[in-house]
Amino acid sequence: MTPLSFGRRLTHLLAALAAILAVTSQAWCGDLPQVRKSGVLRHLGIPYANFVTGAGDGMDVELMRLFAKHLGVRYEYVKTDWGTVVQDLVGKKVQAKGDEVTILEDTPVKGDLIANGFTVLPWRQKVVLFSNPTFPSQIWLVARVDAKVKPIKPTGNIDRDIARTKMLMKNREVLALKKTCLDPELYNLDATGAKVTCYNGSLNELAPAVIAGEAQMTILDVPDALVALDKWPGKIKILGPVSHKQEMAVAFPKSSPQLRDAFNSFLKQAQRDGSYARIVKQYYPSASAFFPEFFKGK
Amino acid sequence: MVFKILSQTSRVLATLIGLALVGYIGYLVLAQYRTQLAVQDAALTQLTSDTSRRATALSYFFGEQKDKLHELSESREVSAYFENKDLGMSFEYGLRASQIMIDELFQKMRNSKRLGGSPIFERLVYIDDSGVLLADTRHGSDGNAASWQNYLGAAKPAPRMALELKGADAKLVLSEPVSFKGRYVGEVVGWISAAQVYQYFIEASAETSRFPVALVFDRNYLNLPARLRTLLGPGQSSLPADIQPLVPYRLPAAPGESGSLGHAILVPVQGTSLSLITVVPGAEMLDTRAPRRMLYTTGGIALFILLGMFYLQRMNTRNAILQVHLAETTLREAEVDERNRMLAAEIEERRQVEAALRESEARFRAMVGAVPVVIYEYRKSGGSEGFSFVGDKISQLAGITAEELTGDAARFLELVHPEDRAGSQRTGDFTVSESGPFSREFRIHPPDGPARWILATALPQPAADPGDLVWTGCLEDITDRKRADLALRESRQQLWDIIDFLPDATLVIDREGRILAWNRAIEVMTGVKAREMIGKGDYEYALPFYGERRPILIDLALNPACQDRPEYAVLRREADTTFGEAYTGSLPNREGRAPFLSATASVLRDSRGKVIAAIECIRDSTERLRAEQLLRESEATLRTLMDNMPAGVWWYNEAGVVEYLNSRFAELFGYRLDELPTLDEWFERAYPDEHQRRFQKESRQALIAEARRRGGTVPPLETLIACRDGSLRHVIVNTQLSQGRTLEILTDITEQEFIHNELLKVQKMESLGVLAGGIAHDFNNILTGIMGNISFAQMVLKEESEARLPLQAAEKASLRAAELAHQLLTFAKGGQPLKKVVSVRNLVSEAVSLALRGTSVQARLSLPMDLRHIEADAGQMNQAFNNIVINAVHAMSGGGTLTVAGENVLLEPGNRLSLPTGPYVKLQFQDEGCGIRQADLKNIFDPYFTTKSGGNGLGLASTLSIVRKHGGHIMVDSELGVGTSFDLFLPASEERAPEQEAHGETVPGERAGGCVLVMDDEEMVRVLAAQILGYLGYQVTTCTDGEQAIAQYRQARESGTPFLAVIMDLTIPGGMGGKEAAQHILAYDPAARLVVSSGYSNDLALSDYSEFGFCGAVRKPYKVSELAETLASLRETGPQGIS
Repeated sequence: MTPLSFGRRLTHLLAALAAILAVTSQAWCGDLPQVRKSGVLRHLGIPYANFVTGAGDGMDVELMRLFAKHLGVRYEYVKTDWGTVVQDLVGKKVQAKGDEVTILEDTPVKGDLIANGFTVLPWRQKVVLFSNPTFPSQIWLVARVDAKVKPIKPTGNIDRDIARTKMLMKNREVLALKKTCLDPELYNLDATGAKVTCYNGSLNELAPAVIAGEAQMTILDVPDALVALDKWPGKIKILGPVSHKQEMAVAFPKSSPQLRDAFNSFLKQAQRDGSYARIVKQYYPSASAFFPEFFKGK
Repeated sequence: MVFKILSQTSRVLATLIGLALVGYIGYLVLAQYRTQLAVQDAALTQLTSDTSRRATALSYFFGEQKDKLHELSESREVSAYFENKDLGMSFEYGLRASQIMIDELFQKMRNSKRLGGSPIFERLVYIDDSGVLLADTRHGSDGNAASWQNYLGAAKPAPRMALELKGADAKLVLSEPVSFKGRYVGEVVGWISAAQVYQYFIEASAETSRFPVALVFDRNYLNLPARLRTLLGPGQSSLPADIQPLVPYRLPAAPGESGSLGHAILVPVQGTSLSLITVVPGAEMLDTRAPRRMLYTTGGIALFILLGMFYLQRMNTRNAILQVHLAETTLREAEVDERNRMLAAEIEERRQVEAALRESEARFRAMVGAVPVVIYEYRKSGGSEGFSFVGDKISQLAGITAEELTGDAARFLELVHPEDRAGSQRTGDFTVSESGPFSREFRIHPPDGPARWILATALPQPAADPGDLVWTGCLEDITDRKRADLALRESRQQLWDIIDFLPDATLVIDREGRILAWNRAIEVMTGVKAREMIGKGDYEYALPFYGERRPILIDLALNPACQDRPEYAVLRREADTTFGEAYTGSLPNREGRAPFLSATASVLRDSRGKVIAAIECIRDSTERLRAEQLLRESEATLRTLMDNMPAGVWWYNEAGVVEYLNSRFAELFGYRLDELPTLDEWFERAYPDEHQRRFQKESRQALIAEARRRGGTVPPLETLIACRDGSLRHVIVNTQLSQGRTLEILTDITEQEFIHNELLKVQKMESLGVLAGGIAHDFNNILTGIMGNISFAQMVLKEESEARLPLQAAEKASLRAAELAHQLLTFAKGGQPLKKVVSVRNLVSEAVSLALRGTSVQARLSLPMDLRHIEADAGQMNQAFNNIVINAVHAMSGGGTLTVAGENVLLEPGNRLSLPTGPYVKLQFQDEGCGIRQADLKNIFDPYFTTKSGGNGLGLASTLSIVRKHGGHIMVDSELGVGTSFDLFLPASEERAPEQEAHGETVPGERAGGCVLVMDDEEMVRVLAAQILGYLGYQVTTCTDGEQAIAQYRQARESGTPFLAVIMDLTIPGGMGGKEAAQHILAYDPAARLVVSSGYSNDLALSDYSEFGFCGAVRKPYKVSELAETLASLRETGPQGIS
């Protein structure tokens, strides 16, 4: 990365400050006292893998229900989508390009927190507060089983593995999903020579789309890839990684630090008393075996 | 004394009985010994069966475990792992997830299957084909490939069971090979503790079986129970060598002992290497030592019995003493019993009274509980007052218990709504008055529910104490009733609102005629507001419509006895509803006309059916009336168009009911609409033949169904319809499908068909004519030779010659042949008729009389005097009539009457005979013969068609040809068994026929002279002509064609000996004919006398010979006289002489 000029850095700092001020200027709505006063914890969720199944349950749904009970308030699920989830939390329309973010007009606030396998990304960290990590992740490249491309042989070095994986994308149709952890700009997919298509659907539909032949490949996060491998064995294959290891966490408005802290302490308690482990095992039974380092002690 | 005798007797009896018992026991012992052996065998068999059952249970158990391992080997998780591995997925990126799933599956399987509280499988592993452990339910184990290789299958892996011994701990190892896409990819292995199996399947049933059972793997004992170890002795670790499965085996005696150790039964466990062995110790088997023991036992029993008898003897003595005491006691007992009986009666009586009392109280309580109100009793006694009784239902009504209320009456007042408490305080004391009944409605607030309305009533009751006041009453919950009242009011209001917003003008009156409702629509219609009408009576509602107070439709509905009003154009009653339509005079006019109103009035009844009001809805139907009129006019126009269509039109609905047919349809087929109610009826009439009817029906239905299915059109079809009068009409049916209806247009093409058939006949005739013409020509030439020579011979023979008669006969025969040839030629193309004006009456008379001569048929002629003449060839016309008459004679072989009628007719333009307009003579020949079949009728004019044996089939064909040549028409009609009728139409002539000329054979009186040239291609004709002309005195020169004739004529003229005449054959095949040669000769010598001769006489050159330069014409076969006459006339008249 080339060093930025002083002026450019100052501009970025002012823009970030403006963004923080913009999102926090949505007053003090959503923080812990207001949540307790309103008597309801509004959970912004999007049906995705087993985090939010769409049938009223999911790992994040169960965690947030327990959190609401822990706070002594009522739980309320608020459905949103990837395109509007951040603005529904912070009350401002947000435009992200790579790691840069631009704040646009005001929008109504619809929820107190976001929890649906929400990956911690640099641009998101600029506009929301993340809790302690709740689940590990990584982005993998997944292809249909009959695609004429073989998975990489791991080298032991993640950067080399990523590079080799990206080489497999050249001149091939690859699905991605904007405004999510599968945003192609986050991983510079355009530079790979791949024919990137931003899918017009939900995260859950990417693997089926590849199986149906709408594209040859797609990028998926690991939880979704594990779910897809279990649902459609022999239909897809994992080619390799597209990103370093990532983490998923619960997002709060910048103006809700107390609520975030309350969640962190709740999470620790849940990890101690085993309820967190029970929930993870219920929805991702193989996760603790697959990510032993992350789940050690939790 | 008696007692002593009795005592001694019983001693003897007891002794005898005892001895008998001993003897019987001995007998039993002997029998027992015999049955022991049998029982012993049965016991062993039973043991074998028991052991087999256990072995079967074990077999099932191990079978199930093998199935579980098989399930694991074929699980989706295992397949997915290898699938992903084959795809090249790496452990780091995806494959490990598959491995984890296998691991979890194995764990789940292990934990789910339990035996006696512990997992069946102590351990489950999956070993891949390289010996690496992929899954292990015991984590942290040794994954050393070398140690696991031993568990992998050999060349052909198969499920196995093995035994692993670690000290005293025996494990049964089950393994199942795993295949993926046909290749071996490892083993699923599970360990089961033998001790656990033994404990669960064998030890658990130890209570029911006292014989020890051991588990055997191959031939080695596993988990030998202590008892068995003791029995078999130390060092016994395997089965005896000679033991056989399912055969009781006698174990050898232990060293130093004489008896057998016992029996053993070995039962293999199916599907495994295991067996069960049950050992029955010898001491517990019933062997030969048993009878001695039995003897000791029975001896003991016998001794026991004897001692018992002695004891009984002693007992008898004591019994006698006791009996005396017993008698005394019995008496005392009777007294006590009597006293007990009296006591029991008193107790029973008291119990009954108490029961009645309880029942009464229970009944009272049940009644109080059953009624839907709360019964209470209120007392005033001395200075205190309160509820002395309150029914239990008070708790449901007011939320307080009866005990609370009876304890504190003020408690009830606290529940009453403050407004009601205050109100009643204004009107009077809330408490009951001293003497009168009490009734109040008020609200209470139960502590646990919403407010309720209560109706409290009470009646004063007489009290025991004069100073006391008692009221008995009830509290009733009337909350629902209050709500119902409110709902009713709201419902009523809703009803009025509905009436008010109805789109039709509506009014409601009560039984007295007062207006209850006057909605907005009627306000608009009449201009009168509701507030001006509501509550008014005396027919106030009639004023806006009629300008006067008088009953209107609503009154007719309310009062059925009311007389009908004349101003209603339509008035109809149906049950409670009356419908009427009328013009009104008082409403505001529209477009200068009074509106036409339609109204419906009905009575309104209450729940008991009593009339309580009436309602009328009025609608302006002026536009509707106008639309109906227009519709009727449109329908009338349509009907007129349909009726005037030139084709038959009808339609029927889906049920096959005919709804309409136009007048042309009725005219064509003769059926009216009432005669054709259904389609089936039409088919019955139109197609009398059953097969045809069925065919037509089915094919029509199929076409229509296909058209409906395709959404296309029904193709037109042709068919013959039987009309009412029995005639057939040829029609084309065009079908149109419309919603629910089928429209058919039947176009009558009978006339066109008739004309078409006639045209076909003409064409047929023409083609045959060409053929016949050729034949006739040659035939005529031959006949010319025959007849000419006969004629010549007759001329030269003497009168008395004997040859004259045969020659006459020959001539007659030749004439007939000539006639036949002529007929043939005539039918072919005519003989172009040589027409002249002739009298039809004469022709018919002559033909009929000649033809009927010598037959048994009578003729009846009806030919009026004014019957017009015709221009015709008499000979041909005669022939035509002759043929018809001959047919009639043949049809009436037994005799009959032939009626011939004639009349003058005038044919109009467009007549169906297709003849030009003008006057015609119609002749009808009607016979009474057998008739002609309908199928044959259309063919009878065909040449060579005949139904008569020996007929040539040319008669009627030539008749048709002759009539046509004369510009006429012939028709035939016949009915089998009745007769046949021929109708001829011949163009009439304005002229009268001249007198008939006498025809005869003339023979020239004197011989002529001169040279004659004869040209004919037939040598026979040339020779004959030369002979005849030579006889007549002419010098004859012959030639064969026109060119020779020209040359010869020229030569003769130039030589100074010109020919007097030249007789020229018209047709010279392959050469110049007469016509052409004549032109040449006339060009050379315009004064030449040329005579045309031919037997093929359709050429105009023969009939109009003068037009072609000839002076005369002779037809072949020609006679001598004819030749002589013609030449003589030429001599007299010169060139181009007489016709």
